[in-house]
Amino acid sequence: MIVGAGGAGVSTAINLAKEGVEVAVIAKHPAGYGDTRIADGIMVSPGVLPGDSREKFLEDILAAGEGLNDRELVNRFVDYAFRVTAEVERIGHLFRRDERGAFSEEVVSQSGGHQVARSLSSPPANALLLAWALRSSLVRENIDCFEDTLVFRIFSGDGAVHGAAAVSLATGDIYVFESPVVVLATGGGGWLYYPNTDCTREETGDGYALGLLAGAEAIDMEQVQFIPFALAAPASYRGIMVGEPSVAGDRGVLLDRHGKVILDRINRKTRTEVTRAMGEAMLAGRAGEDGSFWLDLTANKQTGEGRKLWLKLRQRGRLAPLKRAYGEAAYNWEKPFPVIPSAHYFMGGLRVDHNCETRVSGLYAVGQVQGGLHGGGRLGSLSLAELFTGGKIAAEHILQTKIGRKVTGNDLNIPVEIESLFGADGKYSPAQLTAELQSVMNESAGILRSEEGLARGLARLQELKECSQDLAIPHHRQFNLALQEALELPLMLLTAEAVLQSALARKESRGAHLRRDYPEQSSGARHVVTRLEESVIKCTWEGVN
Amino acid sequence: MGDIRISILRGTPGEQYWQEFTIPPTCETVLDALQWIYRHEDNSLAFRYDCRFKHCGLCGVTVDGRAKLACMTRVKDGMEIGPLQNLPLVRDLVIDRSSLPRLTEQLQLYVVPETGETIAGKVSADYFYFARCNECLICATVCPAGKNEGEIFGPFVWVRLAQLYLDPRDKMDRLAQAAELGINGCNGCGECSCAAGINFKKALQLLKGAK
Repeated sequence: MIVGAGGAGVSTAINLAKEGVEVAVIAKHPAGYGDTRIADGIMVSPGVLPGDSREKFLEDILAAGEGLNDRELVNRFVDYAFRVTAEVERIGHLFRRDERGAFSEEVVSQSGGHQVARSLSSPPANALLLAWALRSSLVRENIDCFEDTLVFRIFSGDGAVHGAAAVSLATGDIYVFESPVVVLATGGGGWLYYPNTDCTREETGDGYALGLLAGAEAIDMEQVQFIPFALAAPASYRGIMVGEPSVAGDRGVLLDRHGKVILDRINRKTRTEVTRAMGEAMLAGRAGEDGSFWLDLTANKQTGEGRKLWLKLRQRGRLAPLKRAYGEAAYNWEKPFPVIPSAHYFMGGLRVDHNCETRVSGLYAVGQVQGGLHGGGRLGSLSLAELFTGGKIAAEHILQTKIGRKVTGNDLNIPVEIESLFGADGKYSPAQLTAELQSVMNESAGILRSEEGLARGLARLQELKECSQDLAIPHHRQFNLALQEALELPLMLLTAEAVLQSALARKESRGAHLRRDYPEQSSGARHVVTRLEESVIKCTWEGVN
Repeated sequence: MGDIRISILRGTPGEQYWQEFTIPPTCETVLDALQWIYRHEDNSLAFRYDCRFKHCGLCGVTVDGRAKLACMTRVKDGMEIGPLQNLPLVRDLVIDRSSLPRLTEQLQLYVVPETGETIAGKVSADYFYFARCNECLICATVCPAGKNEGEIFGPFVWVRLAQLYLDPRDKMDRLAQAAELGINGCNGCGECSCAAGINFKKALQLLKGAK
């Protein structure tokens, strides 16, 4: 049973189905959606050009991870990454080749943080082709896919997984799945920061909570990557990516609401350096009412290099959000425009061994929901690769060790009480509570954290937990969006708590986690490990592998 | 600038009705409006969206009679918003998308056969052009050729066939398949519009055997 039909879920499913295993994929939206669909389609392919090596690739990953990478996971990933291109193209995707059909320097790019060029691309500027290949592969391999179906509980006992319960959002029917293997491929938790996120609607962090509730551990949940520059308005576009520090060019500057410079030489700085400066400025009251700053790229238009950069970005479609949100002048870099930092990727996640298995036997985590590979920072263009390396690694281990296993125990008889949610006549609307949760995340677990802010956030989460027992939900069986939010809410609350507790525990600034009260990195990198003990979140320290 | 009044066609098959809403002028897009209504007015409203910015293709609706992406359409006073037409309705603005996997299976809209290897070969730029299709189904709602054996069938099928024809790994005779499916029956009425900016004529010319 595979939860999630993005790259990680589908690649695992295909690897299993090809060996004759009976697989069911459960997806909260139609198959091929989620963050995979809107990724930029750029994927690392180590060794594609001469002059690359395992050592160099490893070096780059570890440098980005700031000491928090799990070496075992990294080594396994690197091994499989050298063969990942074939894995991805097998399912029907194609990367761009040069005129002679080769992956030459012409078409292989050097992504941020890489010491050599090793990234392939698939025009046009996003992974729609890959999403189509994923969706149509499910059909080609005859894999049962339950779309618009939300998994709200995983059954486990005696250290092993037994199956899961889900509801079809299309019909309101409840499904109970019996399986000795559950693969969580649910993606990240960006939507916890809505609207200050560029992630899609499904990314409510379901898998982290489902895993914790089933007895798994999570690792470094405080490590959330933010893109420094995203749209501030209009409301439905808030959080959509404008770009990395590199889009600022040589002459771009970041201004506060008074027009005073906060930061210059932006394109020489890392994401974390830029977001830290934005966080400090926010605390100093320098942001606009809506939390935004102004990115002024106008000086770039006066230099040849600056104009070249504009043309390159335009050709890649990266300027479209500016035109759409702010109009021609902003698009042409003729005037400054408002930006906010936006939640983009969760480096932390469910703790797994090098087979992608959690400490609960039969419960696997693949893709963004998995933690430990990227440590404190994800190297660019790795996220698509890990979907397929993880899909292969998990499938191989499942084939070796779990086939023929039967589900034992009576856990599947636990009454699945969600009927009472339809037409519930309580006090709070799920939308209202979700919005409050999201503002807690933005205030307490944003780009710059503090003891005081985190403690406040945790107290508010407790209140929200109580309110979430008293919901008002319409009775409709079909596409009841309030019901969807009502089911996601407890999972989001748990994931949020894991993030806040981990952030509170890590009294240092390391990787993407920035503490205002602990601005330095402490000596010796350690993991923050999160688990549930008698329904209470506990965080402990462990050495890095 | 005052409040904006819009009407939304709601309900289930055979029981549809219009409902009026007044939304604040801060709502800029149709998706803004739908989200605002869901959060503040009526949380029984059913609609779909995912990426909020043009790429994913999930938020297609009918706006004043024309099929559009809700996230990319400015909301205006007096607008009438309904589900995509000519597709099976589920509830309110949500339509049934299951014809997509069915069509994929019937017409084998995937690389045939699967080779298990990376190919080393030139791939035409047009291949990537057709690969821009995000399956929003907007084109399917307006094509008068309408249905194929009761299933929805729209210009996006020609786009996928063209993409597969240009795929160096695909061995099926996609030109013959297109002819069998009645590509010559396309009367070039030009009603079809593509939210991803694909020019269907390119696909049609390719599949009809033109160079």
